[in-house]
Amino acid sequence: MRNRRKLLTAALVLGAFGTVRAQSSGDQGTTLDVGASAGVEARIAPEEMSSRAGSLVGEMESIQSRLNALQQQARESRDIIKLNCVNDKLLQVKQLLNIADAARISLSESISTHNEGDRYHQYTVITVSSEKARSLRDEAEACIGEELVFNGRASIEVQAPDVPDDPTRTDPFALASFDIERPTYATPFL
Amino acid sequence: MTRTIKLGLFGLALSAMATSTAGAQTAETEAVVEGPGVALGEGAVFHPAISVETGVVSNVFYEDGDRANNDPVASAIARVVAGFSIASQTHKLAEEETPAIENEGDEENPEEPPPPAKVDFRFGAQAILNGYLSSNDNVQDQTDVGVGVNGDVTFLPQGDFSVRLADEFIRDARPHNFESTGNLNRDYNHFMAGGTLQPQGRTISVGARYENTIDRFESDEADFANRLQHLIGLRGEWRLYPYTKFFADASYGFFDTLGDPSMQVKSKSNPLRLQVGVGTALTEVTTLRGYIGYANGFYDQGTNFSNVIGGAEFGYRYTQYGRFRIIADYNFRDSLQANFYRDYALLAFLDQQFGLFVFSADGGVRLRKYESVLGNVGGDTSRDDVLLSGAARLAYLLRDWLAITARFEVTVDQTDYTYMAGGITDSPEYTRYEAYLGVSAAF
Repeated sequence: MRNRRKLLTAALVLGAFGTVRAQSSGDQGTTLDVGASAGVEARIAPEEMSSRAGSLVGEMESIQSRLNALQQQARESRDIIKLNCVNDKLLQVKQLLNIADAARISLSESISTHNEGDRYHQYTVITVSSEKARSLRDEAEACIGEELVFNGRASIEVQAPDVPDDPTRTDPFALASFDIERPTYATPFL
Repeated sequence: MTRTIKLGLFGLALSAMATSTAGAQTAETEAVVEGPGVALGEGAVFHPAISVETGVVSNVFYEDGDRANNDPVASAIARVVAGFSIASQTHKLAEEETPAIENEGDEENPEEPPPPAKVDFRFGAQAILNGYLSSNDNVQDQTDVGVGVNGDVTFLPQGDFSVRLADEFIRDARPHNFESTGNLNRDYNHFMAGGTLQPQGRTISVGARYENTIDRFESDEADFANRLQHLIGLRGEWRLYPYTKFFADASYGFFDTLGDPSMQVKSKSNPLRLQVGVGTALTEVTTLRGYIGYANGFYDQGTNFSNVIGGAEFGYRYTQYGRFRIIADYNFRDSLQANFYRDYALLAFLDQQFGLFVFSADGGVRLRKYESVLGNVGGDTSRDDVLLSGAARLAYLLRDWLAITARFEVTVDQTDYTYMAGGITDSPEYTRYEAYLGVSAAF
């Protein structure tokens, strides 16, 4: 059962960048068709590429840690459905991490041998693996559902005009009247 | 509360003080200034305030100077105003406007609004010493103390049914309108009790109220003008939009002389008022308040008032820190020295803040007509006056609790009315200028 799942995950990952592999393997002289994202990355210097690959793998390791935590949480809640759900995602992430680790080693070799085509290929493998791992992390979060339960204190943002002078605060009657009538000196007394 | 907002409130309070129609001798009971106050427990705040100012009054006795012996008498004057108020933390002054200064509070983490208060209250008192600095004995004798005390409490202000009790007492210290050692000091008290029904979530409210007014002169020679007034009223309000509210009000009064009935020289009356009005924001910076109605004085004797009444106020905030208002009004009031007076009034008000300077000005004209002037006055039974008033005030905010203030006021009463007193024909016309410079502190 476990072997079959591994094979399935590997097939998914390879399928995701199968086109890349097909276009780049073997003949180094052919055009590298890596799609739009790879095209953007085509100008990355080797040092920069190595650094980014390290970051992406590091991020995947963090994702794996997060899923381990979710797995423990599911165990504590004794919810077998949540646990199976998280286990499935965690397994796939581990496999993706293995693939990314291998690709990173290959990337270093390609850089040292100045193999430009393979360098970009290995980098693409790492990138796609990372993206897939992120997706799996979100799915695992959904398995537990905690993040959707509490998103902080509820608040309502009301869009209303800013009226600094509220004309409804006091009644409109007696707009110009004195509070009390002053003597207007019509008599010696008043 | 940030420093900025406190400055803004301070300026507003000064402005509120400045726009008071009360004269220099009056015991003003409105909020003079108001800082953040001193918390008394969790529910109340204590606000002490003191002002000291000195100035000049051009015409202490409101003389017109049309005879050899009644030239206006000028005097220097020193005023000390000391007061305090205790208010619940949720209390908001009825005329308090939103400060035209941005709140620098933490908008990312706004404070949690407090739970609805069961009681909203404000109590305050003021004492105003008017010291005339003159070698003239008659002027010196006008030195006196005005007093103002007020209280306003609302039970369950946000409940379905709220009850409000309010009272205002004023001791008004004022010289005669001729040079003498006497005065026209006066005690005025207005009480109101009412209830308002507004079920939660509804935009319509209805209420009923009772009002009582006692207006009593301290000297025996003027007690013929003492008045006792009862009034009952019904009020309905409909808040159609957040900044649009319609009002309907009906009131009926029982006005009579206060004291010995044999001294009665003034007609009883039962004034009726039926009015509808609206307060609305036309745009974010323009406001309109207006009303129209019918009033009848139902005076037992003499001339009666029965006519349509109405008025409108337009306000425009032309900058964040500046606003002006224009008021046109036609109404009538029961009078001290006649059955009633009616006014055509056209008034303008301006408030502007320049940094730490707060400037305000107002001016207006009232075309006033008295009907059934009291018989013991000795003149015609009808009198027409043109009342002109103008004022300019400036405050410089040294601190959020301390300000230097300056103000200039002018009042002109023009009339062709004359009367006989001691064999002399006199006119009640006068022109009076007042200028003051002082310091105000509010905490």
